[in-house]
Amino acid sequence: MKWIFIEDNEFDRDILDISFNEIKPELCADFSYTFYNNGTDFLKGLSNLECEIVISDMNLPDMNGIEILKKFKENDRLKDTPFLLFSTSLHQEEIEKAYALGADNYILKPDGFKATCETLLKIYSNYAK
Amino acid sequence: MQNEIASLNGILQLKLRGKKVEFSSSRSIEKYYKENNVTLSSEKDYLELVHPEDISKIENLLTRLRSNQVHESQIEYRILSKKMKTSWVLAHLNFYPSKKDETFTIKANQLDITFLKNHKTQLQRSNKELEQFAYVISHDLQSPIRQIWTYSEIIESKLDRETNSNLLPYLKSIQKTSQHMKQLTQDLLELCQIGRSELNFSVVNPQEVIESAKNILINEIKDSQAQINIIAKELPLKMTANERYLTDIFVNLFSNSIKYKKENSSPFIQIDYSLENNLHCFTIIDHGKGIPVNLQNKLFKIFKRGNKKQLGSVAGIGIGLSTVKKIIEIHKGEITIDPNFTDGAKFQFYIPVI
Repeated sequence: MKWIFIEDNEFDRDILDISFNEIKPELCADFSYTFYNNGTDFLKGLSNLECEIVISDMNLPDMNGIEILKKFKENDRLKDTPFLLFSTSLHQEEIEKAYALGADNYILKPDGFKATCETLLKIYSNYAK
Repeated sequence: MQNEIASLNGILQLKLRGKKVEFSSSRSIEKYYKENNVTLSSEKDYLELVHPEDISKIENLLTRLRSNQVHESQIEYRILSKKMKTSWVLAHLNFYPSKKDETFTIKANQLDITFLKNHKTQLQRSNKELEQFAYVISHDLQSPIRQIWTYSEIIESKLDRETNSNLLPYLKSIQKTSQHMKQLTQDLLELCQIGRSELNFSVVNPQEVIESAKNILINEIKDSQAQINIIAKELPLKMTANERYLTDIFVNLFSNSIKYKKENSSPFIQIDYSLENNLHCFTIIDHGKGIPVNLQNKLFKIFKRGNKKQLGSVAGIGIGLSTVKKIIEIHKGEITIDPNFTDGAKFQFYIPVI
């Protein structure tokens, strides 16, 4: 199982690394994840992309998560792959837009290490199998 | 008298008898006008140096004084010199009817306040800069604080409890402190954000606003088993306000009441409302610990907080009430605390009906 994170913040990536390391025993043996720094790089490789879940930050240097989501869903091969958004704030308008464009979930970015582990496990149990 | 210094400080006088108008002024002002090539002998001469935009303001006031609508007034306006230097003056005007005959006198004490105006502009500018500084600081501190807290959490989870259990309290302290710091910077950020952008006023329903404030505090209310009741017979169905900020007023006041509840009892908050003199008056009574009289006048100042002995060690009230005050001020209202109320705290705030 492969996840993709679009996340530019070094600190957030570090926390994700540490958290995945922590919950490793509870994940399947073939679990892996990759980071993309920005939307452009991610969208460039779309045609060869193989993954089970995409999780994008809302605020990226080149575009926001909604724009990435929109372009992602335009790809026929990938349009049924779950796409989740991580955000530091809950903007009602953005949330509605995200769901209208086919986002699977809009999640408040977990605050802290324990919360990150819990959130990742929750996502995992929702989509594994 | 010949040594009189030309200045805008002095007295101006208009004597009115029927249609006859007698103008007189202090020599200092006459001299100032002379230096600017105006011979000051009538009201009309005087207006020659007044900033064109301010002339109608003065004429309106004079009309009101002459027609007996007001007897005393103050006015600020600009006077231009021939070099187009702008001076600000403050004139205090009095209207005296004569007891003997039909004469009326309008007397103006005029003071050059240019230096005050300049200081005020400078102060406003530096206040703005300070606000901007506080905004940037509180905004930029959010992320480092989050990192400190997160990494200390990670250390805690990796700590070998057998050999390093003595380190645990220190880690807990780091976490507690960074949580406190997070709260402070968030509150400060919120305070700085008020009035940064254009305010949208709309028609809101106070009942719904109070409900959404309760919703925001749903966890605090549940945990403390707080009761929040509206005791007013009726709330207005509509009032004009900024919805988000009006909600924030209630959120801040409720959350303070929950924090400063009486020991061993759950918070009990009552909301009353009345419409007085075209003002929406809200009263919030909490039956909690109350606020000592000696702290009441400091209460709305930023970072003032009751000392630990008096209020217990609860964090974060400092900025909350400053926020409330600032919000009410931008609604042109006022908030007060009732010093005579002893069964907890009693806040009242007024917002003009628009």
